[in-house]
Amino acid sequence: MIKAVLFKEWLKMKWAFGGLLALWMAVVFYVYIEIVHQLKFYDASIIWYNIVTLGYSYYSIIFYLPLLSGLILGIAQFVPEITEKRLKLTLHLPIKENKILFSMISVGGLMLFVMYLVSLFGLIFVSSIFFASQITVSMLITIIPWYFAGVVVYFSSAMIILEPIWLRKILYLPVAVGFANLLLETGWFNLYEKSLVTFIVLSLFFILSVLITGFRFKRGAMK
Amino acid sequence: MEYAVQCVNLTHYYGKKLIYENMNFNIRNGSILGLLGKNGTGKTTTINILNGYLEPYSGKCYIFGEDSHNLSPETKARVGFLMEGHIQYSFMNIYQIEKYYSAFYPKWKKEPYYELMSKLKVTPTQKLSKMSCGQRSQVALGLILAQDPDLMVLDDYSMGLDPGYRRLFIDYLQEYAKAENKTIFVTSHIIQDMENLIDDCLILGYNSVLLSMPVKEFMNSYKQYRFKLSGNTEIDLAKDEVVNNFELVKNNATIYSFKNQENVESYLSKLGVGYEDLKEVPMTLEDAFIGITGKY
Amino acid sequence: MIVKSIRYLMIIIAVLVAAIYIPDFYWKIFDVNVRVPMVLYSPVINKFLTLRPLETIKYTDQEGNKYTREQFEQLEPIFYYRQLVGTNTMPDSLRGEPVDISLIRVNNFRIKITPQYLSIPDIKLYPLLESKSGRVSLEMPDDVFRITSKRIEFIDCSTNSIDEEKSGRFTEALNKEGFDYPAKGIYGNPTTRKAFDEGYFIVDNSDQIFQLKMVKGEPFCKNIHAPSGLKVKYMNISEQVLREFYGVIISDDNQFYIITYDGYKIKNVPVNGYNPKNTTLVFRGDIYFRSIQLTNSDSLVVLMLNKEYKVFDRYVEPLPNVKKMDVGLVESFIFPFTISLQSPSSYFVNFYFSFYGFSFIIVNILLTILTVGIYRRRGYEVKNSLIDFAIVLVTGIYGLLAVTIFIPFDKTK
Repeated sequence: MIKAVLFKEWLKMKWAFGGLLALWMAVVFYVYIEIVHQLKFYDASIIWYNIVTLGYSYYSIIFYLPLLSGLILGIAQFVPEITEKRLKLTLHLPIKENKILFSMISVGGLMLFVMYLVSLFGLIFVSSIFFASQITVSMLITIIPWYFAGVVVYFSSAMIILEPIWLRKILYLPVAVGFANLLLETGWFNLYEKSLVTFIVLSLFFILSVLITGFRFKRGAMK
Repeated sequence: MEYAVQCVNLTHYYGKKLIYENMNFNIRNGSILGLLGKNGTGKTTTINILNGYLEPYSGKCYIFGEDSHNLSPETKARVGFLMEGHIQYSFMNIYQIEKYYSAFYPKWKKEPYYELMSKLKVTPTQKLSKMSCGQRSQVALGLILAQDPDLMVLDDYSMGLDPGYRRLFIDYLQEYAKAENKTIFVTSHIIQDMENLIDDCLILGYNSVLLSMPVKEFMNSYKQYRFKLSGNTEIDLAKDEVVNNFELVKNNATIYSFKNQENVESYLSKLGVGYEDLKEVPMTLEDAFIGITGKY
Repeated sequence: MIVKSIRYLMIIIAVLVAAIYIPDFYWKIFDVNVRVPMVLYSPVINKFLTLRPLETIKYTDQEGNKYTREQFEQLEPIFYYRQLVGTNTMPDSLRGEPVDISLIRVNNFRIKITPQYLSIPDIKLYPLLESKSGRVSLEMPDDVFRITSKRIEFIDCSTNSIDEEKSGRFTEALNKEGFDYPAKGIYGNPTTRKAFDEGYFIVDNSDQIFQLKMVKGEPFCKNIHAPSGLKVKYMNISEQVLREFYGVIISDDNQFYIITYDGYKIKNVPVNGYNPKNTTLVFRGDIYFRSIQLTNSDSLVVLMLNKEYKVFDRYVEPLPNVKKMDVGLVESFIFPFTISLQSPSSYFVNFYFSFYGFSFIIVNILLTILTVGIYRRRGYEVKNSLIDFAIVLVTGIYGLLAVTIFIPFDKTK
């Protein structure tokens, strides 16, 4: 049964997933050619100095990409479910509602995870070619909050889209956007070093938030 | 278990607007119940409550003895559901959607589905969103038939269908119902199709149930009498135990009643209403439906 | 039920988000600009002078005498020497001595340490400049160093590989001086925009302090034998042409020291209960005096010191604290606490809680009663909503918003 859910979600999301994955790979490649380009004009030592002392970030193009990915995946997956209240079909299936909703968000979560894994692997690889491990680690500490902004946006878009009452959708929005924005407070390196774990834990709170609105949808909430 | 569906004291409001109060009805195993009513009388609301998509303000619905609000997966597997407008996953083609649903239902039979599909002129890769309304209704019907449920809940299957497809739908439903102990709960606003299909009918008015009885009994006992008024044409007859509904166009009057002609005539005499040419006029289910719900 | 617990998770998030953004909006609207005056000491009249740029009477001394801009500059000839030289109004002699502009220039310095400097992100890679290249200006090296748990390593930037030979030589130099790996802190001033280079001051794992620089490609490493018990919280190394000290140290017990050129002697500078967590320190010097200016949200203190670092005069001005004004009092009534991601005492993003006592409790009780009323009207079971009421009681306006956004699952009437 879970395989069937995977199949359905895949049909809905394959274009969004494929497109985003290609975009991620293109961006990682861009980071690579940008460094190569810089090295043609400046000494490596100047670039290192700019990174270490002046806060130059060769990966800043990543900033909004996780957010965009989460949003597109969320829309591609859940908008077809609410047009003409199609979610009723899903909730009518002979599986517990929470279980089926959970398997749906697992699919999107997994796609996001695959993109993240591919891009992190690529970025670490590119960074390690040119820079010492201290710089690569700093890059990771800096971009992880951006990645979690994407996690928050994906799971909260599931929650918001499935909410049956428009007023509630609008009320949830500032909570989700407000929290995601905390993760994008700054793009300067290492600033989340001391709060990263707290932020990750709080971001994970959003994972099951879709069950709230799924439950409300099923009950036909009117307020 | 005698009843596939039992609804007890259902009361529901949308905001402050009362939909119905203390509605009770049961659907016998193996019977076909038609839920009839004009737009906005709560047909889809009832279906939503029945399927657990809506929690009623008060009262309960039971499907195969289980609270409809909290159905177990096993019970859900026994219920086939046709959404209003034959909504299905429009991003799938007919093979994908069959493959998808087959994973969920242990009694899945794909033959009736593909038998229906073979009559449709669709290409294997054609998505549902690219099909006509009638074709989509056949896909939705085929899926329900393949599921082989014990209870079918059909929300306005006739919506947007031309007469051919409507007739096809009815034929399949009748054949399906012939099988042992299959129960169908159907809503429609095309009453004429119902006449030969349903066993029992439940007619909803605005905020109340107007009628609940077997169709045969209804058709046998519910009468229409026409007559001409002689003398005073300024009369209006209120509903009571004899008059179920009264219509007047110039001096042509119509009474709908569950009483026989003698009763009606003596009733009119007692009130001192002058009439001539009173005769019973045969009705179709649709006429009777209009009689009981009124034209407006 | 799982969905109910998830609702509380989202309420926690909503409370957090509200506690960050609502006070932020509040302060955006009601914030008051606290004007901190500039305080200088006049070598002409031996009094403190204050400059308040945003007020009508800008130039005064500590006794309240008013001055024009020109008079003020005449009283501060060292501070304004460039202006006075440019307009040919520089006095010929000051404090009984002839004025020598080049000496004034050499003696002026200013080091500022804000609370944030003590908590600042860094990438632990450091370029070590050649301090005796024989060239007029300094140049960036082609490598950077790092200190691991075993040694110092130089990494060539263009090949991103360790220069084993150089790393070996420098490790040996550190070892010779008794360096205990790894380093607790590495402080320097890696820029080419300075007159000369003194390399880095490095605190090792046993709190010893070393100077490391590169002289003609060779390591120059010195254990400066700082007094035992001195634990470095922060160092600021800045090469001054004056060559009186290499830099300053703030110790764990909030003392302030300079590392002198006189055999690395560590000299204590009196700083009057300085707390680096909330106070900005400006260490200034000129041809006549040294001064320490301490500014926090409550006061501005200026200590005047002679060149032997003995205090001879002091200026204290209490500053209006916004938290104690009406706008701050209102805040403490309506917000049980506030959260900010930024802090004046750290560059790091974190959840910085501020708590202003218990005056909020009245408002919170009222909001809780309001919530009970709303729940009753909507027909929720009051006894099922006790957690919601507790949330509002503790988190006040934030909690009320949170439970209004994520409403209970009870049936409504």
